[in-house]
Amino acid sequence: MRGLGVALLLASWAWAQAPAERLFNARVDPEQGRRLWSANCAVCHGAEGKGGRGPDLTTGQFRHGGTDDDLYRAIRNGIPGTEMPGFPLTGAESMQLLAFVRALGRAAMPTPTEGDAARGRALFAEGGQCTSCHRVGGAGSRIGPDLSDAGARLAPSDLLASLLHPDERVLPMHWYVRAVTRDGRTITGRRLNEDTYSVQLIDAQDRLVSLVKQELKEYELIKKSPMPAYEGKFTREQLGDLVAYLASLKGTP
Amino acid sequence: MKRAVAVALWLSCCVPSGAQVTYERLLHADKEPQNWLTYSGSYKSWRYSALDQIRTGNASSLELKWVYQLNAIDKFEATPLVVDGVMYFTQPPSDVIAVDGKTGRAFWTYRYTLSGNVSVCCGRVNRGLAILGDTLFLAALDGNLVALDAKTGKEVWRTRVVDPSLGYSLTMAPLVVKDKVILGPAGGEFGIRGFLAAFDARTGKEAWKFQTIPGPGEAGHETWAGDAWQHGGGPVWLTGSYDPELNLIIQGVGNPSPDWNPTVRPGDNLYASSVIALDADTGKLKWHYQFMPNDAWDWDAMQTPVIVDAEWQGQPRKLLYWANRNGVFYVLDRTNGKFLSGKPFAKVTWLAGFDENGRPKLQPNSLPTAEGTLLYPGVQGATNWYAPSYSPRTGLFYLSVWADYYSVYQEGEAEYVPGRRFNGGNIRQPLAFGRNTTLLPNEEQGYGALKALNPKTGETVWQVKFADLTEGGVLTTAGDVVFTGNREGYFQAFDARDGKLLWKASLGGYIAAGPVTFSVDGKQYVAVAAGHGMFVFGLP
Repeated sequence: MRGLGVALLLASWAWAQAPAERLFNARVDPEQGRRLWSANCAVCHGAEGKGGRGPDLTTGQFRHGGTDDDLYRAIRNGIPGTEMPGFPLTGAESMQLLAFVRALGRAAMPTPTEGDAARGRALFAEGGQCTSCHRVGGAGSRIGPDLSDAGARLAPSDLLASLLHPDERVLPMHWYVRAVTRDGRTITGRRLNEDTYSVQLIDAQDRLVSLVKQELKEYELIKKSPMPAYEGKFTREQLGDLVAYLASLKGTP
Repeated sequence: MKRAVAVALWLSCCVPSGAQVTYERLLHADKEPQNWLTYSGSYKSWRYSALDQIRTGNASSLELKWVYQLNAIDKFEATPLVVDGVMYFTQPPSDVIAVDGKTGRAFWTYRYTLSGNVSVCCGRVNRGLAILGDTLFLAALDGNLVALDAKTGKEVWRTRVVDPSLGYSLTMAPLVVKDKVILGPAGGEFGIRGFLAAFDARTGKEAWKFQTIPGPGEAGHETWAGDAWQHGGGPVWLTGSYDPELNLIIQGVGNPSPDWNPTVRPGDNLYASSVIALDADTGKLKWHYQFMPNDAWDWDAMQTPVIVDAEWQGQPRKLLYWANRNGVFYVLDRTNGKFLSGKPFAKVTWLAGFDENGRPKLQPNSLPTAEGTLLYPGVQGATNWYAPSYSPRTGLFYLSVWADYYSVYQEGEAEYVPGRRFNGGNIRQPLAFGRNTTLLPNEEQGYGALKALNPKTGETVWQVKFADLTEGGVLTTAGDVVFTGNREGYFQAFDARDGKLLWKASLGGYIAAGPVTFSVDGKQYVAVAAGHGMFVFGLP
């Protein structure tokens, strides 16, 4: 076969052909759904859907739309701007998978830790200096990941893990660039795009910067998080407050 | 002999005077480098041009001459033809456009209406046309071979080749040999039974048909168990080559079906994942070599066969160069298909060597399992259909490579349902597919590259690594320039001798086609399909 490289095109074509009504009334086959899940999804979303490289899908909330139609498209076409690729499944297979994902989502969202979200909010904005890198609801820096919907994407346990061990899971979309120009200027920023000859980034002053690699003295892609690990820096109580605050951030629907 | 006379008579008696492209011209396509008369540039499929106006010394001043924007949403994989100043190319799925080579202004557009839904594995694509006399030949996606008047774009005849409701489709540029138009179907993911067939160029009547999956009573049928042959795959979706001295059509054959479950089709599964050599007049098999007996990874032999006469271990020999999807660069004797050498050009973990007949030996634990088997190369192959190039000046073989990445090959159930996918398993891999800027591969996950191989040794002489993967075809010229594009949308010129970057242009769209060069009024141009446009460059 030509392969999956044009899965997206293929998927959109298949979508165009898919007689939606018939598929949506297909008999649910949990066994087939589980098989498809194991073969395609578990590698990123975890065997039980609790998340991993991809988000937790057991919360019943879907960041990129939770209608059958949204989920079907996400499975078939992938989600632009994320690591979620499209999968070359038949229409019927996609529907079985969708049913399986729905069943996963019936598990309740884990209860947030016993922190105080209001105190966490204050810590986030002031003492913690989080907004010098992160942005919530339109305020703060753009150089780090936008956390406006952190609570919708990550379970409290994952939020805590990110605070304690930020280097453990850094998505490629959050990698940093450190470059030194021929005249000795050092430029750092979050990588927005890169190709063979150039790289585009956003720096700490929110400037969009494009660099030609050939004109650089040094060029390094940093795959670790520039965020400090907060283990020992914040008290247990402070960490609980921060997690409670972050868990309350659900974005704007 | 009778046939030759008949062909000669037909050529002299029936082609109107002023007809454009005689078979004689196709035979010597390399002698008229101002044109690009076949998909691969010549029957030898070198994608090498004797034009040398654009050279290593001046390529840096290349500039855009014109762009033709398609009216299409499907991926643009076509190699154009150029005939005496007129460029012909396909607009996916199955339209044809004739434009002026100097200005890009259209003479005519032929719009083809698909008859209905077509099941395709990998996009509603088309890779190009063939020409003979004043007639263009189009393999339309939904199964028709169409002949068009090259002057007007009017349909001359159409012939039904395959039934799209059974998972067959047509995507390749046909090959014209003598008075016949040669092509085969795609559909290796749908349990088709592949073939290569020849059609009379004047009438569209089928002249011969070679089934790539032999039926009962045919040689090779014994390599299939039970009824598996009936849906055994073996598609043909990339143009082959032709050796006029041996009168052989040399053609790659695709994967057996189902892709990743070989247990339902025990045996070698001839002639899937093989190269076949057929008598051009009769379609009779002269020899074959199977790269992957009982292929379990979908490493189909859909690569361009490259015909070179060269010394092999001190003896002049008729050779066939083949960079296979399975990661191995092969040299075969094209008089008989004898295996001469096979050397990996990227990371390969399935191969444990070859026996004395050139049959590959598998490493233990290479076969797909229900849990999954991690193997290099990944399912897209270490290369694929991306057109390679051979330059007689450097003696090097140039190709697009997906280096050092793996897939996890998972065997699954395989139930044949007409027209439905028949994969028999699944694939997982870390490497991102598709254009997504935050998903560029890490080097540890593999990388895309343009490689120059020494065909005598299979060794990499130089390579250029790209940030993203590459599906670009390659063109070399007598100016010692290598042209290729990549997924990033860069169209680039490199020095053919050492890979030094000479020039690049960012075309803003995925390049997944082979560039060509031609000249009009003594001025050399280079053309490539990118995104949804045909881009043409020249010197100031």
